[in-house]
Amino acid sequence: MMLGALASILSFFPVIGLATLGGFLSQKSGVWNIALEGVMAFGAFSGVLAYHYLGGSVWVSLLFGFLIGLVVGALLSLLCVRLGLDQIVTGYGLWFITEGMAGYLYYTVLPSVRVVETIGPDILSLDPVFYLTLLSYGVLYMVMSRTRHGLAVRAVGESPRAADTAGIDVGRVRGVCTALGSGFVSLAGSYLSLVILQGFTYRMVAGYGWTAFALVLFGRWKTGSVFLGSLFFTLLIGLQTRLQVIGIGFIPPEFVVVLPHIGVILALALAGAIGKRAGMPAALGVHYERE
Amino acid sequence: MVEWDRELESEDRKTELTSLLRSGLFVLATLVCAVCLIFAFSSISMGIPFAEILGLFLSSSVGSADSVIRTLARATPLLIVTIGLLVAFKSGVWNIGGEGQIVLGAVVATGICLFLPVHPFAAILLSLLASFVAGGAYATVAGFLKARWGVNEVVVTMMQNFVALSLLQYLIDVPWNWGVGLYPRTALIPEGTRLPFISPPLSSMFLVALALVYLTHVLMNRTVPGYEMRAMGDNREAAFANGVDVGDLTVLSMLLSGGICGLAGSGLVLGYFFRAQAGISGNYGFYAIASALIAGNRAALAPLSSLLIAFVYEGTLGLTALGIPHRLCEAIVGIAFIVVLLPKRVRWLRGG
Repeated sequence: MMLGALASILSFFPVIGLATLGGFLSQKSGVWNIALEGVMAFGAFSGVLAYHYLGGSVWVSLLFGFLIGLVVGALLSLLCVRLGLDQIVTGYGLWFITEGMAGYLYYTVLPSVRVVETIGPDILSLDPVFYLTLLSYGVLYMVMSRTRHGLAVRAVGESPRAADTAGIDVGRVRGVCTALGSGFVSLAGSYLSLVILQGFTYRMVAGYGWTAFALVLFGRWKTGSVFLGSLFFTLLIGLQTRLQVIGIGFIPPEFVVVLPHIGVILALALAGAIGKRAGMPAALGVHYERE
Repeated sequence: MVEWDRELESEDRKTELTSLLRSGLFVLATLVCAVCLIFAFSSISMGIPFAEILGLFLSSSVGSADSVIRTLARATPLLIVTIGLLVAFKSGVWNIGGEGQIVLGAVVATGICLFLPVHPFAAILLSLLASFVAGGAYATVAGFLKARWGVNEVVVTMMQNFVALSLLQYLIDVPWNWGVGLYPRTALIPEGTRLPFISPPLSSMFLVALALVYLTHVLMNRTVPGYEMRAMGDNREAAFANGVDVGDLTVLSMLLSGGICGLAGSGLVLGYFFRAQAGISGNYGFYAIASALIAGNRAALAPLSSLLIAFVYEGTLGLTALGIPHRLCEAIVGIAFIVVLLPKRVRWLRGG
């Protein structure tokens, strides 16, 4: 009983975890991706679209969602990394485009609501994607701390000029990280629509993208802290959903819904009060141009 | 010396004007192409003639005197929020909590007009003042967190949106609910507390919006705090090194920004809906981000960018009659503000 409840809460983990991982990867290389919310919405739409047109396999649809995310991320890196447009402003634009397009295309291309079925229960009745998320964090940790590639990503985020001098192609590393990161964010959206909510509705992402964005800051750009932060928030969101069902006497349901949002503000304030901006990649948001 | 400065300034103005004109043309041309492409796609996927879509889009936004008035009414709250946001943006502070600040302004105005037993005229003045204070105080929380502990204001203001929206939802669901109608909303505010119309649905709030444009233009370009805010927006560290109190200015810019957004909320209650209801903020808080950025955070250009977005908003609203979802507006606006950025970075557009 307890275990079942925990499993159902944890099955939400990939939504937060994968999106946070995606945002983390991009920020670590020095590129803000503010459009997480929109990219998730577009991933959610793409997943349902692929499910409908590509034979109804959830795995194929998730993969399609991931690939669409790569394309969106490539567009962002073309605008920000190649052309050097302001990352924050471009991110807002991309957020509008992806979220708007998801809503627009869903009702023009897929006019009726399609319900999809889940991948199926597993150990502890957790979805395989949950384990995939854990694995992704493990791989990310190893790559970031133990390999040449991880070092290159960190170098590009901290000091692109020094990285360039050392023979690292700054544009390429940032481009790959942004595209790959966006792929994970989009995958989180596809998982949300295909497995958790089993269909697409407008504004279904409901701030999870922004939460993921906040979690990267809260985790101080460290793989382990970012992982623990997203796990903690998954539990908080699970708790909020439970409370909404059970109801607590003195708090109206309208306020229970925003507990995670208030949690994000408090968490960031607390993290800020303790240690200012320690850990932030020094060249985050700064365009690098070769001289 | 003074003469020479002026001459140089006018020379600068001239080149700025030509580059503005050139990029303006590019932006318009690209936008028209993008919109036509989307309409063509809608036409093919939904089997509606292209001319019908384009015709309906234009007729519902600028096709008649009525639709022009509607577009202006749509531009009113948008312009006020745009002005609010650009005060923060120009100072390098990202207030994206316009939506929540509008909602708080609307809530406060509705409460005063419905429940405060004062003269109607006093109720109007009080509503406007209180909505400014409410929106400003709410935004100040984010400003304070940023100034004091370097907390990212983008996240805080975004999260505040959700909190404010749920407060509105609670008020219209339970204590202020007026049990009539399809969706939860409050009762209508008394006749005396409504702002006069210029021509329905365009209320006199439009004039307030224009006054705000002028005041903000003066504040940002002709006063010391405005100059310091711009300096902080250009380079926070350099401003700090030159003795600008970046902490206080961050809080001040958020206070003004949120206050003006709150004012838009009371404007929506006093001059448009005459009540609080679900969705009263109409996503103006988000559209205004686009509007401010399209205007390059310049108050003088805000009316133009707000009108452009109001035009797209009303046009796409008309298209919902054909079954084309209004989300299209969001996508078009998103394309618009990326396109606006391009001339600054793409060399062949700068003509150099």
